[in-house]
Amino acid sequence: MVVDDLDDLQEKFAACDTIAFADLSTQMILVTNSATSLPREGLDNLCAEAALTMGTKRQQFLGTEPSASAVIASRGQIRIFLRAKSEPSDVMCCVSSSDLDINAFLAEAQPLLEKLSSGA
Amino acid sequence: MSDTSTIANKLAALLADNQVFVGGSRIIAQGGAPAPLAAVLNEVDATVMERTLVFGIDDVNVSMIVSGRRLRGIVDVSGNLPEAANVIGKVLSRDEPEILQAAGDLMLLLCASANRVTVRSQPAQPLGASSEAGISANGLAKLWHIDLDAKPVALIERFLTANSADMSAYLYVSNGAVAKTVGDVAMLDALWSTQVAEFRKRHRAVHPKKEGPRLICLSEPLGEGTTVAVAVDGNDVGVFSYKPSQMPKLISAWGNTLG
Repeated sequence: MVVDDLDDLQEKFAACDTIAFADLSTQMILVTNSATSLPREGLDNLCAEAALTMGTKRQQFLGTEPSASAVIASRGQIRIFLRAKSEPSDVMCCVSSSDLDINAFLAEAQPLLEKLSSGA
Repeated sequence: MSDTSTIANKLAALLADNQVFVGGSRIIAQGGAPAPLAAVLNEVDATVMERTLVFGIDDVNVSMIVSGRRLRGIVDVSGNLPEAANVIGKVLSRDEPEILQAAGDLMLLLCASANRVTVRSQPAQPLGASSEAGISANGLAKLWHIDLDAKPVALIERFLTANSADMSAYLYVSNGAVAKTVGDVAMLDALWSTQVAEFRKRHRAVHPKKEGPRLICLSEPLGEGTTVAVAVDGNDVGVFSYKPSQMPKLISAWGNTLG
């Protein structure tokens, strides 16, 4: 189950509040970890922010190509967006407190995203 | 500054209700604003009764004996810094220029890249003879070339300057005009001119309630191996490229700059 994989990742990184698997082609969050505190509207905004920041196949707002990943840091919060290499519409979105170990998170999150994207 | 305006400023400081304390110490500088050493000297200038002021400069504590708006001397520096050896326990005097300079060098070293400076007031400790008055804050500012009234550097400019070693190039925009560039900024300038304003407008639409300062780091937005980041604070914008491996460090530094 995808939700179990997301829960496992969230358990490893307690700084994360929300980890979501989304489809940028439809701009929909498909699955989140079960303990996310974000309401539906917040998840919709998160997905819209992922599309805006990383860009899609059709449109980029920063840069000339869809970005492989993006990190947005504001006061006390980090939002991370990762794109699947195999299917560029598939992304992982994470909302975390600012004490997240970003390197360690990326090392675990990218392989999980590839796994979820390939449906394995 | 006139005596009247000095008194007015000190009364305003006493009445201020926006002071922030951490662990019982008052934060006097955060993320480089105001300039750390100017903040220290302003505390000296605001201290009339004889006190030990313990300044927390990041993880180093410096205990100073202050009286009559003058710094009499430094009585303790944590961490066994070799630069402190010639200064600790000595009364500052214009008759001892080497000690004065050593104290200045020590404080400049500690404050150069300090992220947070705090102060705690404690009872005075014995130091020298009571006739040895020390040096006024204004006198020290002149000797150490510190502008006590310097306008704080804007957050984005501060962040870019402090972390330029981890950036390949950067562009600093203040109130819509490019104020500073470092390195080859042709690509960054193109992004700033053609995309950043529209991106910000759309981002505001997505997060209308999140208008505070933020840093956006992008991996491969211009093709393989490229990086671009945009730091935003009101009308100030920084656009920079960086080594991919430095991204977590830059995010951490951004958090420290925000405080």
